Amino acid sequence: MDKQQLETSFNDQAWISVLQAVEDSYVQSLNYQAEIETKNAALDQAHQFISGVVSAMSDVLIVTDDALSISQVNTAFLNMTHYEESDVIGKPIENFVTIPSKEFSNGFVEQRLYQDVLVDLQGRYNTTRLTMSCSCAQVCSSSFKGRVLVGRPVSEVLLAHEALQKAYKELAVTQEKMLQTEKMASLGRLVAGVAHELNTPISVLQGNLWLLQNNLHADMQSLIEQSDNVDEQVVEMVNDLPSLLEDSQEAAKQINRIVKELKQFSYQDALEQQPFNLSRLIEVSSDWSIGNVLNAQIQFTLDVEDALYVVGSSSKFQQVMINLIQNAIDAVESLEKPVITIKALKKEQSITVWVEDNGLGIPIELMDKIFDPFFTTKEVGKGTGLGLSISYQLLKEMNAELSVWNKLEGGAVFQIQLNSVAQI
Amino acid sequence: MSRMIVGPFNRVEGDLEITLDFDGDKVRQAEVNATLFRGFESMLEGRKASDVLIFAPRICGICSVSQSVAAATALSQIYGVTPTENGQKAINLMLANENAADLLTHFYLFFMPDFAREVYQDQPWFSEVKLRFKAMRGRSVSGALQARTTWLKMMGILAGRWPHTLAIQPGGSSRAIVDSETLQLTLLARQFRQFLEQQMLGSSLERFLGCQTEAEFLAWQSNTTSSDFGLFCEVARALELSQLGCSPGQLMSYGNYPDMEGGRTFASGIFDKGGRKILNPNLITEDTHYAHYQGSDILSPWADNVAPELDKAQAYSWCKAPRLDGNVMEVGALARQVMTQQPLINDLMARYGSNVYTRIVARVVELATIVTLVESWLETGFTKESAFCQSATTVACSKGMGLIEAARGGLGHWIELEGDQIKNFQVIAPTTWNFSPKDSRNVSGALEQALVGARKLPNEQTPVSVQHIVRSFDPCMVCTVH
Amino acid sequence: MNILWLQSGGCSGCTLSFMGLEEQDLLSWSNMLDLNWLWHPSLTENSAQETKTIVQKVLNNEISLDIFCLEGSVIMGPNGTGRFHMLSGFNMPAKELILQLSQKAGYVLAIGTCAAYGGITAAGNNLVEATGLQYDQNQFGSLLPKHFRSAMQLPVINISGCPVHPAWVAETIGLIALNQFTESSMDSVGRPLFYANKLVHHGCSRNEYYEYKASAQKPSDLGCMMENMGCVGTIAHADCNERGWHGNSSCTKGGYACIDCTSPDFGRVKHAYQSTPKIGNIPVGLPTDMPKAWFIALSTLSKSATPKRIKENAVQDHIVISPEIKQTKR
Repeated sequence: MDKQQLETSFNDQAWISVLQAVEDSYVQSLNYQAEIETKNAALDQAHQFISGVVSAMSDVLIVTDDALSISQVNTAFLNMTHYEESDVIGKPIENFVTIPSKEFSNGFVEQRLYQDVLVDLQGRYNTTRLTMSCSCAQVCSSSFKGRVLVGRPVSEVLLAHEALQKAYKELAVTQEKMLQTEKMASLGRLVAGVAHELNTPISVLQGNLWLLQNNLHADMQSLIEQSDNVDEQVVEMVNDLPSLLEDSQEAAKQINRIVKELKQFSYQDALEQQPFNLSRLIEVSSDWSIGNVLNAQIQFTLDVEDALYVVGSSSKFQQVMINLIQNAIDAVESLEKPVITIKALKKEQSITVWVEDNGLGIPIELMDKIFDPFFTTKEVGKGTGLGLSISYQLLKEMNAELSVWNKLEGGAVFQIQLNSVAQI
Repeated sequence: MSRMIVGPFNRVEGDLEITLDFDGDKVRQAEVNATLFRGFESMLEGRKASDVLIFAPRICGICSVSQSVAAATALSQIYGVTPTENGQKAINLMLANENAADLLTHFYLFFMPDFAREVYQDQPWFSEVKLRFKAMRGRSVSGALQARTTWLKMMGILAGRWPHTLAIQPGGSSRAIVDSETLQLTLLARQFRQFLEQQMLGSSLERFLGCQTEAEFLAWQSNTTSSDFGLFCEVARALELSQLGCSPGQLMSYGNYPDMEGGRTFASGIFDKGGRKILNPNLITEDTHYAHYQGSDILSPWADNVAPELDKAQAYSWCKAPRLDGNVMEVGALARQVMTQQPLINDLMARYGSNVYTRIVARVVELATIVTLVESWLETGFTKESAFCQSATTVACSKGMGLIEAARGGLGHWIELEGDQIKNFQVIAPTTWNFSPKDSRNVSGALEQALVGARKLPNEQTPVSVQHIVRSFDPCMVCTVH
Repeated sequence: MNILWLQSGGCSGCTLSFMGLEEQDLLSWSNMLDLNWLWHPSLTENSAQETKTIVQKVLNNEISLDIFCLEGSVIMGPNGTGRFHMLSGFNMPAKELILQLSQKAGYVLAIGTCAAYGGITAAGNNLVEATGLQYDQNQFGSLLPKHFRSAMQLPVINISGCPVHPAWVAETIGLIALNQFTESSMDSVGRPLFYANKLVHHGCSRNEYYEYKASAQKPSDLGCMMENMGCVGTIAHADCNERGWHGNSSCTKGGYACIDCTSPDFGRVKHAYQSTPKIGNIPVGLPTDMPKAWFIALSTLSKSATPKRIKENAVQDHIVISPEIKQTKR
């Protein structure tokens, strides 16, 4: 290294920065130390808190070591037995706790885990009956191998409480099940009711809008033409009227559409029972849906057996198919290589239809909710959240089943299982 | 009627016991018992989700990478990420490496040595088989171990070590590969190809894989009689292995090696008498009627968190009975190659169904296929644009399901979180399917059905036919019960 | 020498690792040392009745047992009965046979962390009451008591590791075969010193990043994994980076943390494995034989001196800045 280079690498500036770094690291070390001290204080506090809780506990607490000698008891224990701590520590637990039940004749503490066993606690002067639970310290996965025993005096109230608790749990389970089965049905009824109620106000609204659209504008126009002194603002407003009314009419139509869908959701009318060509229907539905798509990149494959005949309502089935295909399109719209495949296959007395996409699939935790009414993952305004639940309902009426899962390769599969195959 | 309890089995991974009821010299009924319970599924409760990657591979030291991939796949759904392109390729290479090593080990170390037993000493092929395959001494076994060790050097480069790597992450692989390492990998693959072509097959992989029908396969065999696999084919003909260990042949594969187009290189699906069908994983259940667990329920893996119960009256195994839509399924290389419509295996399956012979041939076909796949992946190499891993830190969904293929068949992990901690972790391993006990409808698992009709020779304590059938499934008992 | 290898509560990973012995293939190596395998679950021919006969002969002293290897933990549950692993064909808990064979053997080897200390099988709630042969975690005395000595007067040799390195097993058995393995060949928790007196940190290829505390932030980053990624290579006893796996690799070379799989408490650590637990900003689990204050002072200082090359490469999966080439004047 020549002299000049040596000077540049060992100038004052360099040394100052080194010293600065030393200074900084010293300061930082001090900060670390302060931080550790704070943590220590917190730990100390936590320790005090826990020992406070243990001694304030009204339940009896006994901790033993691996050899089942007592290593710790709490204040409740001492109060109940009238012993001093020094009387019990290090003594075998069976000196103090015995079990009347025969089931545990060979020492219940050796059994590692149990709950609510009746035991007798031998005090200096008296015996108290407790329900006791024992947990093995392995639960804490530490090397400590003793037992932790917690006991509570038995009383009638306690027993009653337990029975109540049990009954309550059972009830809750039953209720849960009932809720599950009733959910769809009751929601359906509610929705249909609301839809029906909405019908009248909507027709009024639509009628009035129509009237306004057809007459008001022309009337106003001629009024303005006839008078000479009209405010500029009024003129502007009248000019805007057609588009405002049109928007309102559009909105009303949208409401109408939703209401119609809602009504279909609980459609209970007599079923059409006509044999129809399912293969043809799938083709038509997919042509129709694909025709409406902007993303022309979608690779669309139909793998449908010829001349599959089914008994049921073709219009409803069509509605279901269009809905499923639309969902698939929505799922793949933003992909680079979107793929949608529809397959249909007859096996023995049933026909299965699959609509598959290669989108992201359905998050597993949402899988149970996907057929619930109003459940949607689409942005607000894009879907009503009714399509799938209606499809589910319609198929059910046709004695068909709609199910969904994620493919292992990615993407979702909707499967329709039809059992009403037509005998042609 | 007589009863025989057979165990412990050697050259199956882990501990296996089989109770056989004979009518004369023929097995009338078999009960398969996995005898070890380890409690893996409850071990993880309360741990952070990412810890699955530490514990899952240690369920099984044989299909350790497969376990990692299943867990990472489930985690990728939980974290809402997908592996990067390079990461996915690296993971596929690891998985392919492990699967091929397992297929090789099975053939040379676990399956073939049974034909070198004294019971076959009068057979014309015996001395040659003994020379090559005798346990602990066979010449070919030695060579296969060397080839395996060299092949596993790929794991050194890709995974740090094997088994039990942590390189497989939800966002890709933790080990970035540079060009010179791609070259090393390529050379290791070529060495392995050389072993297969010279020692195992006696022909180029392409010629072997070019066999589309049984006729072409037989013609191929006549030119390769001196190879290790050629020798097996001779033994198989002599002992009519295609009539041994026939199962109902309802096959299932989850498909393997995801590609970047959203497919899998080996297709997924199920196969039964009605042909190929699409697979709905939501229909997978586990039945605990004859297993040492509380209750007799049929549970979805999402709900299946049952405690052990040793003294359950009817229970005879620690293995639960997995079913797909209530049906027994057989998994493994045969299922994979049938689902992916490999021409030769298709043909053999149509002729013979699932048995000792077709299971072994499917494995060797798959072994050869994997090596050609690995070579083709390495030829395109890794891109300069894509990273090897993206981070995965925030929980996006509380549930994840990872279904992939280990060498022995379909492996599934189901993970559910509460917050960022594990609430439920369930595993259904390949041999859980194949060696399942009866279910609540008293339908036996694939092996139990395959054993019916097996014959014992006079004075046999451990019927060799039973051993062939058991090992043709390449069982792994440590995964089975976990 | 007669050798018998049994598996209980484990994953077979140690066997599979052992089969990848690199110096020589396993069979040739065995022949070289004149090992006679009475039974190995993956290697030997005999099954069922043949196996039972051999085991019976060992127990009757008709066959001498020089080396007994156990792979996998001893399963004690439920309630100490061992019935969670009934040995197939024997109709007895595996732990009974393990105990009896240990008492017959010249040397008793615990293969892998499960057999040595309980390992992963004993993790979490340890439903099955898994434990090591002579240790439960780092507590001395378990299935075999503290004072247990094999026929050659040694306690259990703990070849821990999850899985074991094939050469650790091969070299231990080799030393035994040459009669060179003594009590002084083991560390205080029973591990062979030839690999346990090294640290994983020794020979770690990321040492330049360690020196400057240039840290990785996500998997696949090239930087040191101690600060964020949970690596404890600086306190883990093993020669992984010096010896190398599968040629010349290791966990840290594979881009992921050393999780100290040879340690008695492996599997029972409570924090998440893949991130470094910290108090404040200081990683817990610093090198054990260095004053903490010094470590902190040195590392903060070196952080401020980190060259740009190292700082930037640390958070990439490939080298983006190459080392400078020294310019010499002609």
